[in-house]
Amino acid sequence: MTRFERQEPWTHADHGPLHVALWQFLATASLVFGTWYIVWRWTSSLNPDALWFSVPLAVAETLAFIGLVLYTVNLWTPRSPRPGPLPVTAGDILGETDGPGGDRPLAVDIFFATYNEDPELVRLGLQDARRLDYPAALDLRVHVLDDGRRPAMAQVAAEEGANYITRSDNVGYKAGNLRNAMDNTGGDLIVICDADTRLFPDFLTETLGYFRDPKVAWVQTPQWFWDIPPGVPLAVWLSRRLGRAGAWLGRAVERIVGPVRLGEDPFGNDPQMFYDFIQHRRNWANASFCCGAASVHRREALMEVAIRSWTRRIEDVSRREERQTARLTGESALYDAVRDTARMSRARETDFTPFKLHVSEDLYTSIQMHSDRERGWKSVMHPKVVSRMMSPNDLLSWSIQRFKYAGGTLDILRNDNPLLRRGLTGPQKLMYAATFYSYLSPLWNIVFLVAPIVFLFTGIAPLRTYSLEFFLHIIPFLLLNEMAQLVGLWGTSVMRGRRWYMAMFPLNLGALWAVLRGQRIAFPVTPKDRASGRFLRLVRWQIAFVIMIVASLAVGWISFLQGEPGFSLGAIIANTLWSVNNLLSLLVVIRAALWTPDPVHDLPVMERFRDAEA
Amino acid sequence: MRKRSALHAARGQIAWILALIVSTAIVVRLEHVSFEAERSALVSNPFSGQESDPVALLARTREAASRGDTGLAQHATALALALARAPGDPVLAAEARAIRSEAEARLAGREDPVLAAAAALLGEVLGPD
Repeated sequence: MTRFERQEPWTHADHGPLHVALWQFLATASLVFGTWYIVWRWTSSLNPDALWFSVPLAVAETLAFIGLVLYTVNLWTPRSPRPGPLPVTAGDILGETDGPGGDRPLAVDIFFATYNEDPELVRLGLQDARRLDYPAALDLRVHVLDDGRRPAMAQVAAEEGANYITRSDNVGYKAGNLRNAMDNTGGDLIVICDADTRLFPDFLTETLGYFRDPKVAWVQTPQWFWDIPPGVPLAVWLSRRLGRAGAWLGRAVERIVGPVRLGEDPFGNDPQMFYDFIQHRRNWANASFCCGAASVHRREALMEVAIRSWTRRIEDVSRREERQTARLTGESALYDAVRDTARMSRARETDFTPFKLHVSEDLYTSIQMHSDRERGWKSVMHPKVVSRMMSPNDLLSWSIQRFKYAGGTLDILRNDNPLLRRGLTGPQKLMYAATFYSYLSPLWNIVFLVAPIVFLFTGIAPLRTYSLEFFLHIIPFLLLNEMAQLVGLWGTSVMRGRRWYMAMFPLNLGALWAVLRGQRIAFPVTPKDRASGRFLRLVRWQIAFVIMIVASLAVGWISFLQGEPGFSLGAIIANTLWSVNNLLSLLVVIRAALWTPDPVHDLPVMERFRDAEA
Repeated sequence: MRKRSALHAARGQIAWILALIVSTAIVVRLEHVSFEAERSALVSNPFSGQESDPVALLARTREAASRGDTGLAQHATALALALARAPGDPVLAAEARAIRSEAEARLAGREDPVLAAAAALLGEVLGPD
């Protein structure tokens, strides 16, 4: 039985010290051999007769290797803070310098941000919020933040005993919605939920202990999607086509290689790799960032950072205007009264917002908090899954969501590069660099896709030769890298993530192009209902590449068998392996475009929300 | 985290590692690569990547042309080594003298540095007549 079959969240991959030491050893060895390979590529392997081909590939390999270095730094150690005893009063989460906190019970606000989602979906989350456990009395308040201004939503909130908050406009979308709710509430801690978030009873007992440290600004918990299609077991799939013989064959194969499920997680939505490894392993650098839903925030931290950001923006604008005025008038300085009036009017015009009004408001706000060196705010990625939510289960919704992530992140990189920001520590900058850098991957992934096609069609090698020397340099690096990732990411599927990373290149390239042109990245809400149909238009580039790869493999092997010059055995094997890897990567997204849920195995899981509602 | 589910999650990666190993093994096997002989390639191999170089092609042609005398040169070298280990063996000495004479006869007609070196080595072991 797989995890999806049981529909249970993953358990944290808790690697022991020896396991971590082995990962660190292998990772270091992989980087050493990788450096050796890259140096050799630039000094001894460029093909002087085809530099137009050889140099771009060497550049792409070097850029990918830099990404690997950042990735390794990111995953280096699982060292994480431990939660303290659960706070009971407001005073328990305040520092010594914060003054008396009082003995009043700790006040916690739970926000459910919604816009156009089914009110009945939100109802389930509200009901779960009422069932939260806590060993002491809390001043717990649940709020529905409805940007859709829907009477039906207001009615559901009233029926479930939740406070209903709305506003007259939709300025700032989700970030603006949260800001409006903060204006209307006063809890010490704020739990942020999306319309589909369903908190587990232990959500508060798992997370609030971290706030004993008065510097902890927020705790993010993993987002687990409980509606990921589990796919059809191989034995069932084969029995549908071959009858009993098929069922027997399927079971025999599964006995050897373990459970095989066709169509499992067709959109690569399982986020274990991201939360359990990438985010959790940023804890040591105090650099895990907020991902919105299923996170708990200290109100004081949000407000303080917002005030600092607000005053800084007013200062910046005012100073710029004062300089312009001084140039126009020839005066060395403005009268105090004039300056104060100008600043006051700027303050009225500048938005005050605890959450940056941006498509990636979570990431942006995290960067602002981390760079507040004066207060030294901390973030924590909690390892245990303590909530569940729904995933985009069609390629259109998936593309909207991923484009938003990519575009939002790249927009921050272009307009407010955190690497140039004062306040972030070196390790924090490295972690953010890893995030931003990963979104530049289409620049080198497209070269990796094109290179074997060019060779197989033309026989022109990007290397001087596919000699023994090439294999001696690349194989130790590739093997050590695989072994390192096998050990370091033990417990999650690396290949799946890697394939989607490659397959997403047109989408990320589109986002990069949009940001470079200065196009505004929109704030669409990721649909919660599945759009039916086939989405081949969304994967037209991937289809074109698959056709070219298959054709190039045919041409390459024919040339090799005919003994054409340049088609040596080493070259044909290296390029075939490379092409097959590319092919498998691209096929995942094409399969997703054509995917329809299996009525027996997938639909019951995907529609579980409807059953719960019923 | 259960060991079995972790192993299932790693299947793709294990398959990829095996594919890398098998592919490398195929290349090594079919290209008759000897790692022992090619160790120096790691340090610096001036001929690496020069398989199609005109100089290398010329060298191969010459080697093929002189193949007729290679057997004699090898024979002479082997005898020289055997004699060095068993000096005074009359049978070996007689054979060595015969081979040296044949080599000298062939060398009179044309230039063959390999055969000349082998004959000289044999002469050194045999000593003056």
